[in-house]
Amino acid sequence: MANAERPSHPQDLSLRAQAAAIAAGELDPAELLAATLARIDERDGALNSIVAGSPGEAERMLTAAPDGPLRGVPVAVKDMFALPWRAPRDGSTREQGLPGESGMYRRLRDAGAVVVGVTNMHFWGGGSTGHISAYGPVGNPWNVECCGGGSSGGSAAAVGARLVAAAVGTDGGGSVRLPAAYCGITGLKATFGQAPVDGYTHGYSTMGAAGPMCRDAGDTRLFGAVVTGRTLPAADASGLRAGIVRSPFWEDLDPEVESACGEALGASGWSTPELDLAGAEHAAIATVLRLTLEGLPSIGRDELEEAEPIARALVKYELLFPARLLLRADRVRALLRRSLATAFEHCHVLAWPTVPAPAPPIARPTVSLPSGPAPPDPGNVRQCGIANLAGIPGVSIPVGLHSSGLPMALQLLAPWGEEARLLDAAEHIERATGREHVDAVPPIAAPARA
Amino acid sequence: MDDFERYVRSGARLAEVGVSDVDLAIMRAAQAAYGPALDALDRADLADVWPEPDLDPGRPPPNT
Repeated sequence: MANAERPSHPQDLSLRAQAAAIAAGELDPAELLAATLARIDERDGALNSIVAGSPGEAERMLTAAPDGPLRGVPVAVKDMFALPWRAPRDGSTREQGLPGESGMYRRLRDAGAVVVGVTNMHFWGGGSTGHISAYGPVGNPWNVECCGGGSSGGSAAAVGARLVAAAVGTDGGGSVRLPAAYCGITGLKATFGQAPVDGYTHGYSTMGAAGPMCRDAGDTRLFGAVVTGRTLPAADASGLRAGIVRSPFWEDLDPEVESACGEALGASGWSTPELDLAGAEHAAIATVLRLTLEGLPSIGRDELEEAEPIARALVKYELLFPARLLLRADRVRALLRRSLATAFEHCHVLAWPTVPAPAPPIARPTVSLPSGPAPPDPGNVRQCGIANLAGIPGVSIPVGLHSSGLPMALQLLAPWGEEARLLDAAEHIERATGREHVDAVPPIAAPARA
Repeated sequence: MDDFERYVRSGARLAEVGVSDVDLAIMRAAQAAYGPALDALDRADLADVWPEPDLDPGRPPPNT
């Protein structure tokens, strides 16, 4: 890359530009690492996206970095994966397991990446706002007084603020896609089973999947190949059919969100057949019940009483769910999987807004919907949980800025194993909208005025 | 003490967990948010919807 084209700070390069520049000898990875650590020190105070920096470990990783697709590139990892120098905390004060080489760490290391820090997350992964964490709330790069999202809010905020070009998140009920939507970045939930689960705090889950979080589809494709261990080849997505499921996914939305998502689909030129999904009205509560069933055994009674008050009370609430409802949730899960399989016979992707409304303030985490003010979680899980129940991949892509100054996002879902198709579709929308939204720079990352 | 509080406190006693007034207030908010959906699920006709045996979320359901 010619010097005249290079941004003034190397972390303003895309992930693929960083990797290419290092491979071509045009960017010194040691200088990139130093610049990244300095930027984290400069910007992260207000954001609180990184809870544990690892400069010494990053330098050791850099020294030993093999010649992989991300050699020398700094990345961040959500606090749910064991690292050799740190056991994960899951957004709490307690270590959840032991330090070690989780499968995710091994994939990053083997790709030559350098882990510069562990990212903040919603307590126990149990929320979509990120404002509840043992480390304090995660801010939003577009307004640090607003939620960065959850549960992978730290990863989303770090990428959105250009602290790193890539971060690992995890998604059990929307936790990659939701904070990606809040922070105006691209986040991919992989098909269940694509990412390694050893050393992952929620590896027991049948709902959770790790995923790449980056600024655009191209970077997500590169990082996604590392996270999933699969190549994700590019293809033309101009002739896709995007299925529209009006109820419930296009209902009770902030009007600007609905409009922005509709405009993005209009710009795509895709046909948009209207479809129904049997069982969709129960997807949100089935997600909550399934996550509850799977997560409760991991929480000890003493740990419960020491937990953050809201997280503690919600777990106690979940403890009292009647068992029959958990079994009904599994029937809904089976119904939804069959409904989705049938739907994908009539479309290539499904499309609806990732979140019904943009990120709320940290001090008052309530969103305004046509039905009235509401906590964000129910609506957010409504939009995203179906992919976790079914196991299918989903991606969130930015499609505009709300009048509040916060990002809005469109979600695309695809059949099992079709991550590449999702990224093709995301890139198609990026091109169709002139890359206006993926290239938008949040205030925290804007160049200082002279 | 209303029906919800009675349900919570008796269930918590059986589960051997304590419930503070703060806990109860948060649980009421959760019930307001999720209660209608729980009721709808409870009333749904799922008699002909069987769970998927040997569920593999990484693959489509069988016979599709």
